[in-house]
Amino acid sequence: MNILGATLTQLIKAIKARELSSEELVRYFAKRYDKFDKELNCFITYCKQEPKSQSSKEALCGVPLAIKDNIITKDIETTAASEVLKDYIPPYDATVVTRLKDAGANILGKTNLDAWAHGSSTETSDFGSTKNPHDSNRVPGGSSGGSAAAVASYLVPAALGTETGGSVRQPASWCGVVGLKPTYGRSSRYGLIAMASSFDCPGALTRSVEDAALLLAIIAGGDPYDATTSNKSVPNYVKSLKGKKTFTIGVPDDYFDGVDSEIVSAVNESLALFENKGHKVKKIKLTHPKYVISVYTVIQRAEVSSNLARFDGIRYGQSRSHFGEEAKRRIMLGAYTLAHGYYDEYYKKAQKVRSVIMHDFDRIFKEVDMIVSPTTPVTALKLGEYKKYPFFGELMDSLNEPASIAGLPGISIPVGKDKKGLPIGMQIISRAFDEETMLSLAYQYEQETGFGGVLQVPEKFR
Amino acid sequence: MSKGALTKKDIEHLAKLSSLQTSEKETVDYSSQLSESLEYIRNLSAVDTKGVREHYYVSDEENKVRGDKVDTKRILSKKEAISQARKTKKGQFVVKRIL
Repeated sequence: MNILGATLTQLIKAIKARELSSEELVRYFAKRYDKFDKELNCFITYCKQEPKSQSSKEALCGVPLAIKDNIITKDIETTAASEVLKDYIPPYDATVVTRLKDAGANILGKTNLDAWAHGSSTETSDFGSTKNPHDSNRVPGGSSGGSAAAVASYLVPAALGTETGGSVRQPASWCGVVGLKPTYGRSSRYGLIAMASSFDCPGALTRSVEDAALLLAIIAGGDPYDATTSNKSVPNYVKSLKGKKTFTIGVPDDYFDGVDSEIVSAVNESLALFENKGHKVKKIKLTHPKYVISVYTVIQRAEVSSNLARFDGIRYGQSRSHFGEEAKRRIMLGAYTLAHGYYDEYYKKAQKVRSVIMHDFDRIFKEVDMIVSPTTPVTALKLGEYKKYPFFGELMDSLNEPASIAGLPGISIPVGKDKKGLPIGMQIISRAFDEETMLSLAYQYEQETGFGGVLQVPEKFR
Repeated sequence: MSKGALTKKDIEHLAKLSSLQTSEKETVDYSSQLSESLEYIRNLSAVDTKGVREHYYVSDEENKVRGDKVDTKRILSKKEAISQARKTKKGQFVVKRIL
């Protein structure tokens, strides 16, 4: 079997048919790591232990996966890409890691991110930026940039990422892979190094919609260790992909404001395809992203300032003098907006506008089944280019933040490349706990187009 | 603290509150960068929120309580619990004297 570029689902099938063993696969990816990761810097820690042989009865049959390095892994160094946690060896596993291991995954390593997941390019990582496999002078996006680049360059068939406001969908879009952010409370935050607790959400970066559905089915579900998880039953996401359904798709005009014209045409072409296939496309009006950015900034910084207060260097990690600039900026802005005298003007006001945004979605979801828009306003930027944008992270994530603020699920899928050869992403947002609907539309698109070949492993990494 | 723009003095105060160290250059940079952020987020005042209640979380889950029972799966041994501390003494964490 030709392993290069094979999806998780295909690899599992091959293992079950005894065409491949999980040990062979782990060695295959270790070789690719040795050959290519120096250039890409996808991994902070790579586990070079002998692969555990896994029963082919388990769902994942011992396939190798990578985990973003802000998700703790027992006995494997976990840093959140910050000097503060350098050398930190967690004594337990995050729930999502436990679930993957129980399903028979081999953990290959821990992927790079913006330090503490604060950023949209991996350039705030204390261990160097990850490079975009489609052009190594460019960033992969972030914060789950290491996971996205590792999946795109096939250093791993799939990886876990985390989202607070775009950190799965945005790098998925820039690296040309599938990025799934579940509903808030669908996947457990236990063992996730907290950034902003009312948004944080583990998700998956994969090479097919079916792979995303498969991983979601494993990581989803109530967790007694995270009281914000829901005990709603977990559907069979893979099974529900199939079957021809037609939907009403809402398209918010404001989400195309200031978006690069090549991205706008790629998304419009996809919408035309949906119409051809019998779906209804309808223009809708939502709160303008420019206000969403402000709500997100205020609430996220406030939650960051309290979450990062725990890092005192006493029980684990190094002292607070090791925080990088972005973490300091966020902590201080959060401390300011929460301060007596400013709380009402900033924090409370933002929480009210959050309600407005949520009501907006409630209203729209009475008329449409899901919402489609570009994932990002531009394709991958060059290393260092973020300095040109004073509000870089918020700008790049502006179209992802609305769903995050309302806790809704979203998925980014590749819909082509621009003239520079860089992947373009389109996002689909659906109702809370209705991942099935957006997965179904994404799957239909994949069946029709094969993602236009965007997922082919870039020449340089074959 | 001053309303509107953040002065160097404000940054020093916020750094102290947050137990962070900032260099002279950082203090200058942060004061202009964070003032710029504040300037932007003030656009929220244009959104009408009369009669709207704030939302501190998004889920409609109710509070969950668990029985007051020891979960042996989650217990760390003393050795494990202090294994990541940089300074320990007689099996305990060492903290700075505060008095």
